[in-house]
Amino acid sequence: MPADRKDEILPGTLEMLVLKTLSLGALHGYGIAQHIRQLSKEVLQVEEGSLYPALQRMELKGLVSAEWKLTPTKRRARYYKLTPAGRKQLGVEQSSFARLVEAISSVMQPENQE
Amino acid sequence: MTSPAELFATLVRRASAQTHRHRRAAELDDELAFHAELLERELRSRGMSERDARDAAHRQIGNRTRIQEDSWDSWSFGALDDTLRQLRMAIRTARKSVGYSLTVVLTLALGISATVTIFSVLDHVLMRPLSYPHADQLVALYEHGAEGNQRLVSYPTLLDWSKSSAGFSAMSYVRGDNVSLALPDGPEAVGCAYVSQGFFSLMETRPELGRTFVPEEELQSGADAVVLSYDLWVKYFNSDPHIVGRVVSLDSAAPTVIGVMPPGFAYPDWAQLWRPLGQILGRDTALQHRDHHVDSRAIGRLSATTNAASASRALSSVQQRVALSYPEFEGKWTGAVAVPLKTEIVGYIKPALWALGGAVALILLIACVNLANLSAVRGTSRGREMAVRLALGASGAQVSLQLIVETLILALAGAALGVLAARSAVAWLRATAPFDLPRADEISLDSRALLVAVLLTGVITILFGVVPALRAAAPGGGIGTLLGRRSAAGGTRAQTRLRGILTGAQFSLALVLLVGAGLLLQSYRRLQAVDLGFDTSNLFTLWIHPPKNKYADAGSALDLYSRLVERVRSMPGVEEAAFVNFMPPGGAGVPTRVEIPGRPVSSDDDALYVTASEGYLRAMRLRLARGRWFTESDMRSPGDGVVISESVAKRYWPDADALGKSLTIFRSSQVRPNFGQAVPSTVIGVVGDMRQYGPANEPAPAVYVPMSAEPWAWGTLVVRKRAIGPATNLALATAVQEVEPALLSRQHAADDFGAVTKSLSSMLSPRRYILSLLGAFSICALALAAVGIYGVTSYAVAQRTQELGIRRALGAAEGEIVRTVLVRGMVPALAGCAIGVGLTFLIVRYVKHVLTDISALDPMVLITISALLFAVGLVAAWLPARRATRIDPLIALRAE
Repeated sequence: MPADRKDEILPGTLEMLVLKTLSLGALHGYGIAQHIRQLSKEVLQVEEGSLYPALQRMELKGLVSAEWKLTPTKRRARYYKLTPAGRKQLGVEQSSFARLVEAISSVMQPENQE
Repeated sequence: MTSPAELFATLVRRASAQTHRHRRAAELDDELAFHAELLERELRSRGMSERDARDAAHRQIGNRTRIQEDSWDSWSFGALDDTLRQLRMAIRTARKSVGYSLTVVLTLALGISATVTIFSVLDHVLMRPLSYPHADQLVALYEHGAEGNQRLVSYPTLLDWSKSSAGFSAMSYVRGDNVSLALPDGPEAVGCAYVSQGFFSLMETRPELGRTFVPEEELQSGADAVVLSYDLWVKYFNSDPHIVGRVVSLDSAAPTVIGVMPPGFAYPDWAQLWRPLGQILGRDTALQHRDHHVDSRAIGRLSATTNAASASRALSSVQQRVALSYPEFEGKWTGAVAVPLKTEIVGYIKPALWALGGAVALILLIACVNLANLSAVRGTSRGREMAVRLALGASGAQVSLQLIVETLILALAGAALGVLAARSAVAWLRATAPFDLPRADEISLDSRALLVAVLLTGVITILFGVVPALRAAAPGGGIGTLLGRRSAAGGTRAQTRLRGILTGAQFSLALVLLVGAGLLLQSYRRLQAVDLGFDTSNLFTLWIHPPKNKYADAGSALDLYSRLVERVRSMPGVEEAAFVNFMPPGGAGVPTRVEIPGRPVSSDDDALYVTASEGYLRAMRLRLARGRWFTESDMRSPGDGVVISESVAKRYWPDADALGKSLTIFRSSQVRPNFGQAVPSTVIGVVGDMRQYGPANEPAPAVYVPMSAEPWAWGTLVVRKRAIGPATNLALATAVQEVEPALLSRQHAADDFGAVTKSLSSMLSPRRYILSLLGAFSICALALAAVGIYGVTSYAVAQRTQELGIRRALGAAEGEIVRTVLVRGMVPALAGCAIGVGLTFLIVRYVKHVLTDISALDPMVLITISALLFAVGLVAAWLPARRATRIDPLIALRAE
């Protein structure tokens, strides 16, 4: 394992991140990984070994759909797109994540103020 | 959260992914390649060299196969898919080793089918209650003698019993008779049961159609009514739904059909129709005699609070008083016994059926031993494969699962085959069952039998399939198994010893079974060869039952018999014809009490009462020992002369000549008014003994009187044909019909004359039946034992390939190699045989109490069977041994 490894994505949140990313428009796997890395200021590294199985899983659940399209550079790539079910799921996960963050920070805050 | 529709959509997506498995894999590969390409481009744009960038990109993506597999897990059906894979693999494995798989499947199928078949028979014949309501309360009633014997109870005595019947809720008396039922095709002789009051309410069985007798009909003056059995209704009345109310013609009576009993209602077993006893109370004199003990039944229903044993005790005290009041009739018959009806019906076949059950248990045991052996052998030889799998990263659970699935597949195949075979076997058993196997028509393969099959398969699979396989291929072997196993001669020493013990056990069990079958065969052949006292070849009989309205009195009956004999005797091809009331080996007969002047009267002094025509001695080729047989003039005007059998002569005059001695016999024809009348007689001849009750029974002492002295109401026409150009049965039947058309129904005219040899053969058919079953089982046992020793020896040879190869290379002769292999293979077989002989001695000692006609342990049988087993074992071990001599030393050495 490389020593410069960045923080791992919290288990269970990868799907949410992918959903959020795709809510902005259809993207291929590489694009999704780039997007997450860039928006997290290089903190969140999406491993390919997790990303692709996750995409398959989400496709199976009907949260995303995929089709082969040409990239602007005329390369064939598999583009993933949010389905209505995926959009709904994103809402659910977002609000439960918000609750979780709030809960965690209300636990952590007193210490921080010291 | 997920609705059924979504769940369904998911399932569809999964299923489609399954079917497009390869395409999806290719797609994912493309996707990853594209990803790698972009990554590479990005790295190069950051200034990496082309080569470094490609390496870094590949490193980052990592193991593509792993990604494929991880993705796959999400698409596949998880555990189900896993199991399916195991299944495919197991079937592949099974197909790769056809010999092994087939042996396991067939062994299991054999064990299961034999067990399930015999279970079905035991269950339906012995275990289940009879089909009557509260059948466990039904008992047959008998008088019980001082010597432990039983006899039928007379009607007056039964009336005494039922007056003070503690322990019984009801008792009923049944009188049997043959009646002639007039049908459009001609008369048909049917068994009629005259039943005393309350019979049907005692049986608690409701009729299928109509009703049973009402009290008025049961009175002597009641309207004549008849209840039909289901079979008779189907056979002779075409299941006519409007039969109730029809008048039928029975002998001279014309009773009205009032009901039809349901199928399976058959008490007594010969009854085809039932009439009230009241109809014959006035004219059947036998019903008034206390010494009338034939053609009847007495049945009782125990009250709910008692059992057969205590009811017997209560009834015995009643009978004791009866015996004191009538010492001349009851004498030593001072007790009574209530025999559960089921025991009465199936009791006699019980030991034989249990013996079959025992045989099947042995078969099953041998089959199990085979399976254990096979799977142990197999497990050991696959230990290596399992170790490789474990080393390559399969989990222990996966390897175990694979072994279990493999075993299960074979078990299921074996069980399915076994149940199918059992189905055919049960059908065959039913079809070929001798007519007197009780309840044979009830035998079927039902859910209980299936449950037994399932349980058996489960237990066998776990005990003899899964456990040995897992133990032998225990992952504990690890690398050691990978490297070392081969060099040891067939697994560890303990395993080798275990296999030897198992093989030996098979041989001893097979020996027990074979010896049992051998003994039974021997006693069967002895029975076949038994001298019945007369010549059975070319001897034919016809049961004559004259219509009672036409031949009611003795004179007309006698005239009919004489005309019949004369007519048939004059036919070409007929050597002699005669008439007799009861003829051997039919199993029927009527006894008379015999009294000798000056000798104390004993109720044991019975002899068969035979009334015969003048030609009987010649027709039967019966041996005349002393004096003479009856002549024509004896027939015209019978004097006081009687002929006795040698056993009667020996019983009363052991040291003297019986000729001219006096004895008193008693008229025994139940239908004649002078029934029971004493007849003082003189012995004019002594003839050889005949086995009246068949080859399995001792000859019955008999007293012969001229037919004219007491013309029976029915009897047997005996015809001895000439060996060359015998008269055809059809010609005989036509001749009989010419004399009296009402004697034969036209329908059956051709096959009514039966060969005595044929009826003898059918008398032995229950034995033949049991014997052929037992024989089949012993052959199965032999085959299984052979397979066992063959499997173990081949395995040993395969395991010792290297050692044997080296021996060959060092110059060992072929003979020497065969000998080493054979000796190792045969030692367990020999030990097994020896133990089997010991076991047989023990078992035969026990079985002799149960199977009375099994012969004592014959050394010839024992030696023959042991030799047979040894020979089979030798061949089975020799085949692999011969293979050992063909081992190429070079290949053997290279194999390591």
